[in-house]
Amino acid sequence: MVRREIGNNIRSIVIVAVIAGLLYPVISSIMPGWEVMLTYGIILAIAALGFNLLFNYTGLLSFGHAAFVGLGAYAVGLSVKYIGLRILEVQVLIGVLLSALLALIVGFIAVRYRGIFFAILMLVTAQILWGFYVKFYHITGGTDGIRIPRPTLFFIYDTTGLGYHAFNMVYHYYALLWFTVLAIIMWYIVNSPFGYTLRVIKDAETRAVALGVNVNRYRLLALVISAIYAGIAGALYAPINRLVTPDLAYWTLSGKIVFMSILGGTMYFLGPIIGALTYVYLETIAQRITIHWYLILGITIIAIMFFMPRGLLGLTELEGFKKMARLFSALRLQFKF
Amino acid sequence: MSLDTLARYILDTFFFASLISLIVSGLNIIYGVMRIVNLAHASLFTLGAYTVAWITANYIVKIFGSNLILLLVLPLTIAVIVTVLVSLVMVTPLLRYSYGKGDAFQLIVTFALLIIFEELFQIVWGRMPLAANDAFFAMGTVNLFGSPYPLYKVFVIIVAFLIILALWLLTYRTYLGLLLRATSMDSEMVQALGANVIRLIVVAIITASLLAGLGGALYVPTASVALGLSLDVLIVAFVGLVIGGLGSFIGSLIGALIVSIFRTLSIYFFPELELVILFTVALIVLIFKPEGIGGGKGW
Amino acid sequence: MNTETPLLEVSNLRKYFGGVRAVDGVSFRVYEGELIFLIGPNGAGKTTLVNLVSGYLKPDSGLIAFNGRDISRLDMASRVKLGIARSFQFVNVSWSISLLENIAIAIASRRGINLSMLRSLESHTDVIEEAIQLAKLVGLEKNLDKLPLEVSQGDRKILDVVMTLALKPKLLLLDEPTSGVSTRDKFDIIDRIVSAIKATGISSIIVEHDMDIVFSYANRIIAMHSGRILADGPPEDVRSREDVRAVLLGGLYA
Repeated sequence: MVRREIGNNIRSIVIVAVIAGLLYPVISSIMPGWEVMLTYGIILAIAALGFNLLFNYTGLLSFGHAAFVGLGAYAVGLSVKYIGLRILEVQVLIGVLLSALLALIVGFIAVRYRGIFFAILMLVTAQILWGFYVKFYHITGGTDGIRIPRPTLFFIYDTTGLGYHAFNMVYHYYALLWFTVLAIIMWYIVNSPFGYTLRVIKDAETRAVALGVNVNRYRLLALVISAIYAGIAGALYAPINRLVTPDLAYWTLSGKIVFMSILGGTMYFLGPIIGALTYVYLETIAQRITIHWYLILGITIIAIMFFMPRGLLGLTELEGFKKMARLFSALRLQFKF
Repeated sequence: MSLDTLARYILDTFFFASLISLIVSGLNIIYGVMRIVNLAHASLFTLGAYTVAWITANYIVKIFGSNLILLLVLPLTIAVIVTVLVSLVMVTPLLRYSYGKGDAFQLIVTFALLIIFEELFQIVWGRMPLAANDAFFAMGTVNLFGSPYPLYKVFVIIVAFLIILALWLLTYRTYLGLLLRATSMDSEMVQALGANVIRLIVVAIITASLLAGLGGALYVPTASVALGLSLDVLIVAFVGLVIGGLGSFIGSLIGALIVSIFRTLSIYFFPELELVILFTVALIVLIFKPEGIGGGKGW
Repeated sequence: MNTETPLLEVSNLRKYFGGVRAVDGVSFRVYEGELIFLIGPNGAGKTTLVNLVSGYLKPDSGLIAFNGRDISRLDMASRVKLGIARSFQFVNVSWSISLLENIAIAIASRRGINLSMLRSLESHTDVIEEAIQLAKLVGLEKNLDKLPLEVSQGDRKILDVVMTLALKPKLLLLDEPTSGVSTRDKFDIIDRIVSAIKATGISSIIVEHDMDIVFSYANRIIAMHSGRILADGPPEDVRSREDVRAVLLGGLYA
């Protein structure tokens, strides 16, 4: 089968992961302080991958993925606050279960609708949870949030004693491991019979029905998987952020996830990943320029939609890039690397 | 529940429904002509509200004192003009060029616009809530079964009723309305008749913006305006649309009324659960009457 | 008269849209291996009939029996499982995946492996192999790697039919498989479709407007007019009927 899309293979995922691993020490030595963005980037990439399973492959646009990110993060926060649980994998599992449960409840009705109805039902879901975190402050700590102590990784490795930089570094590679595994699983999902069935549902719903496919069940399943990814991202976000606040469930975070995905190019498997990694640096730079960087965010979204709808990876389809790629492969053949 | 509380509840419901119907009917006009649900429409409501709050506190009261007529008419007029102008510059071109591009495109673009507006409000008016309740207090109260009720809210109900009536006459009794309705059913046919669809689209957006701005302007004397208002308004309006059915003029008004009944109830008894209640109402309607009360029969 | 149980038995089927009697008391039987052409002027109720039999619409009254079992209340997905498959008047395929992948998904759906998630479609070699075989049957094997928008309208129509054939139905309903195709290509396309149908032996009902095609390929013709069946029988009988000629043939085949 011809793969016309750049980087739609497991090798590319591994290459991205290796680069993200190698870049960390490089960035931290050249531009100290900027390396932690990379960790945020790969964590958000997990959420964006989930978003795009729904958006590009299923045809459902969610403006409420922050609901699941927030749920994952608060699963960590509340479990440490109330039962002193610090084993991150168990906390992630709780986040996964909660996200899946929420997706099942909301999705039961929401997946019967597309377009605006689905988008806003998800948005309202996220806002309800956000309201809960803010208003029930005696449980959630309100807008002050919950402090997250250092987690225990792999059930046995307590990171409490690590210094600031050592922890960040350990955590980067820990998150990278999650990212790699989850991205590879997502690749299989997207390219499996299930993933292709989702595309038929998206492009030609009546055909899917005529093939005997229970369309709503597939949409629901896609939503649950998507929510699980966002939930894991939220859980992994908490320890590196050291604080869980209602902002993690706020609608602007949902907007950011949408933005990352279209920035990288939703038509590409790698799009949300590249988008998330680019986004965290853009955000940091924009925040240093102005406190009103949401303005830049909004304008950039509109500009991308109108002038670069295929996102950053869409640039690879330009003639110039193709020439360079041909040159590169010619060089590779010549010098055998 | 005593008689005066009940009467107060009913009037509050109608007051809120008045504001929501101004927004919902605007959303519906744009949807009818362009098949776009403009998420940033709620921002125009907020813009109207901010303009009134700011202009009243800083200029109107200082220059003209508390002259009731001026307090009512001047800020309202200025707010509507500002909203329409801003809409012409920022909203109209974006919607016009999003026309026919698919709903994911339109949703993302108008969502981005919502984010832009939110940040612009913060730049211009800061993070603190603004309030201007001079008109509210200047109008005084009426006696409602023994307890006072603000006359201003009654005034808003009457104004909104007149506006909606005018809108109804416009859509059902004029040639322009005929074209708008025809466009909502078959825009190619209207084009074939020689009508300029783009001009119709612009007219529709301006009308809708005017309604939204007016809604915000009417709202602000009763409560303060703060960041995040757009999203609250958007959600309530959306639930109204779900109940009433997208694309139905009468349906959207009924939707606005029903959503107001529930919202006012929750504000009275369970303020913490406002969103949950609205969400549940929307879900129940979606389960049992997925096409909404109006059934999307066009307007 | 045939005495075996008919594959499909439609009796007194009715569907009104407001005042329009789209299908108004239609009865007919289809036996195994029959190739039937459904003809009639625009608005005769042909597509509505296909929609009713496939389960896309529910009838107001009447009975649809498949293999002797009443299916008139079953939804489309259940009828697909029983073996009734249909194509659409307009090409209805996924635009973002290749022809091969479209066919493969139809096969995967028949085999019930649509929910398989952790293996790529490509690695289901048996499915891919079957898809290629099926494509060869209708002469679609050259463009399998292309997207639907990159091939001719004729190939897209064929793809639509192949996706239906991939379900290995017992009864195939094709709604105007040559619509939107130039007159020049129509015969080529119907030829490929009919030979594939004959090779598989599936009972089929084909809605068709082009009378040249109908009379060249049909063993049996059902002619509809205003929601009713006007004539039902072998081509020569239908052709000789005065009323059919009046509404359908316009004297062309006099």
